[in-house]
Amino acid sequence: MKHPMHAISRLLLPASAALFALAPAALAQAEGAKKSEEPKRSWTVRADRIYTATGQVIENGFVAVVDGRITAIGPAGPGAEDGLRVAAITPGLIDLSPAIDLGTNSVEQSDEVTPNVRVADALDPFALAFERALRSGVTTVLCSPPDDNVVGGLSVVLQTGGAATIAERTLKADAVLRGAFGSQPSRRNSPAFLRPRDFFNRRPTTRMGVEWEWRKAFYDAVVARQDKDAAFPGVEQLHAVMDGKLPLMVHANATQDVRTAIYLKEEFNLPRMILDQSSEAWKEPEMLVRSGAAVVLPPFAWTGRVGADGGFHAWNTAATLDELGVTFAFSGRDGLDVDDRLAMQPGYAIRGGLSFESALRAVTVTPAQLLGVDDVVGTIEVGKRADLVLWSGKPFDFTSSVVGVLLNGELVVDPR
Amino acid sequence: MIERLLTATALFAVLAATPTSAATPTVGLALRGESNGAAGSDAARTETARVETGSERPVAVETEAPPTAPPTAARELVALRADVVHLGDGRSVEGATVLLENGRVRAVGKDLAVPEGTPVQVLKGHLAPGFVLANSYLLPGNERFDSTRAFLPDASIVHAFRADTEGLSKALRAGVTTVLLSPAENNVVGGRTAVVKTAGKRVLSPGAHLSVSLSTAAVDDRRYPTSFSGLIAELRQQLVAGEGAYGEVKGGKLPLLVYARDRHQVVRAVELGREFGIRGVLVGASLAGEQLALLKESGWTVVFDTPGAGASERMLDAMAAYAAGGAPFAFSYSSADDLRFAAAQLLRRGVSPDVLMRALTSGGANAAGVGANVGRLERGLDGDMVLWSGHPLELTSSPRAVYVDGALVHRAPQIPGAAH
Repeated sequence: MKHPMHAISRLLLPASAALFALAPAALAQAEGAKKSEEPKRSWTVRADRIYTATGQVIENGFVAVVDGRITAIGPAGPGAEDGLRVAAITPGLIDLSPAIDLGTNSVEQSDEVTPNVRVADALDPFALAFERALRSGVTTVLCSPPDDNVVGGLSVVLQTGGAATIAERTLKADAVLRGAFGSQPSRRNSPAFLRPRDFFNRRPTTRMGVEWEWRKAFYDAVVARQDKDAAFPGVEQLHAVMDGKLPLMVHANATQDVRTAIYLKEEFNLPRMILDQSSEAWKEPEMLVRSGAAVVLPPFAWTGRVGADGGFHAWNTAATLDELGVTFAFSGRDGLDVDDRLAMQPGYAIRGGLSFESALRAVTVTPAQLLGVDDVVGTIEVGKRADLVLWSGKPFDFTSSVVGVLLNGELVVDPR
Repeated sequence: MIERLLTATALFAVLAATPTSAATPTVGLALRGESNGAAGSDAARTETARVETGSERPVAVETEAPPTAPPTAARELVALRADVVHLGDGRSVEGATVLLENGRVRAVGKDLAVPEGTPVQVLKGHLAPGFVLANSYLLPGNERFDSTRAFLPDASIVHAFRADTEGLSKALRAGVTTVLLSPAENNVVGGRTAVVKTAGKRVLSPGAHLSVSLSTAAVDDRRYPTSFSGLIAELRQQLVAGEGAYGEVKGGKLPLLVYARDRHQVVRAVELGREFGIRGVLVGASLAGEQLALLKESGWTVVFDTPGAGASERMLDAMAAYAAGGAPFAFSYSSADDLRFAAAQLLRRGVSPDVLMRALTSGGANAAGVGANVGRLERGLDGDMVLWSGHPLELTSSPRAVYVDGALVHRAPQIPGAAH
């Protein structure tokens, strides 16, 4: 939905443009403002192959975009506009774990459990990471609080470009509740004994403590269902997780953390769980399949070990999950390929035995479904937002690159 | 008409309205107790004469009266004519006269007819309103920052105001007559700001804004809140509840002074303001020029910290773009030297001197909520003025005399051998 500010600014523009004529710097500013107010959002793009992520591949086809929406797709049709012809088109990529935040300023550490705190209030729309993601074909991201808390708070789905406020970039507010297992939430804490008094003299200091905090939070939420006086800040969010209205996304990298997360899911009957950075989830195939939890895989690392917990990440992890029928997505996070973090992951997984189609789904439609935004983004279909990636060759091939990006119909990276 | 130089190097030339006044040796430098036929008491004259002949101690004149007492200026009419008079709204008039009555401006004009018997002083140089700074770092850090609690809506910085400090008299000597005192940005809510004069102990406003910090300093990871998420959530909750100062903020009675340095902090402030229909000033938003459209639409005023010698090109370009963009702005006071150096840096980038003069006078006064008292030379406003040896923004100019509430409170010392 368009913010009313757009309309107001547009009305103000002619008057302010006259004032800008005073200085060259200001003039450039005015032109910049005009450009961002009224971008062209209607295009016709042609490609040798269009990968729609619905299972369909269109050879020598076109995608027509009007006012930011996809209006027509097909093999025959209009010619490409102004040389807008590329080797391939895919939907815009979606990263569920890009780790775009303001560090510890994005997680409220005054309490270990803060389910009602919103990371949307602690993001920088000007962060270079957004621009970098956008240029590598990532058009939608889920931004979450860093994993310094047990329950960190509410994550937000954002488009990676456009207006320079978080509010105007939001595709879905309060999309998932974010938390963490493993060593991350306890790493700064220490017992008070024989140490200087400190804010971080507190639980949890171990994995056991982290698990205890999780169970206590949900136990308290269960109690609060019966006893209104037992309510606490964030209980609504925990209830929403228990009722399946809000997905719970937890960082669980190593096997023991995956197991702890699934035990929690089963003990408190949490319908929608997303295991983030779970490179070792495949080590518990039965539990994983039984639980129905989805998995977000970390980016590949040359050492085979990922993240602070050093979970093993094999080339064939994605292929194994695919065979098990587990829902999974890729993430860019702290990937080695700093300018192509997410876009490189499907290629590595394909080398590990994953099919192209499954790899494509894992960066487009699957993450869209997990976030509940698949009615808007994630595939190339008529009526969806025109978030498109234009490729120089077959997507995810090592020799191919992202040469163009449309974000909500705006050609933010021009292939010409 | 007899023109007489009072000292060999004096800038003040006295043009007596009548030949009789020329016989009064002290006329022209002190407004107190002077007029044509009826000079002040001998004591006053002696005091004036001492200042007149080049005192080595150019200190601010202070009264023993409480802050609310009337100004020290003479009760009768006085007129000052200068080569150029800056009005404070960006305009300036050559050869204009300022007529003061009881320490306040009664009229300003080029061919102003002054009532008969009014002493007219003719001053060489530019007469401008005293600078008004909508934020300052004058008070000691431990007076501005209360580390016991992050939220202090009931605090008031006016209790930390001490008039006889070197910082204030230094500001006065640099041509600053009014400053805003603010709580530090380490507190999320630091309390009420205060607006004071740099001479005369007068408090213009004991609570111009509620000081709120959205900067990184406010999210200390040794106490609640440690994050912007927690900070915004708590502020929202307090504003929704609307108790005490928060209620005044919500009702539009008390504007906010918000520390917002990075661009995302500015966005957060604007969004919070939009949500609750509140406005105020943004302190330290050095890249506001890159968010001009957002800020113009929002109605906030930016108070720039003076960029020092090491300021980045990007920051200066952004400040220049903002200044040229027509949105209101003002400056913080950090040191006497930085202020006009900052203006010079922006002048070099093409910002008009009129725009900068406005920001330093009425712009600062409006941002500080005292635009009806100071910042312009206009009927009814306080006679706070600075006589500059040349254009106030010319770095080679210097303040030669400072008047607060119509009284001469500082006169620049004569340096032997120096050409002023």
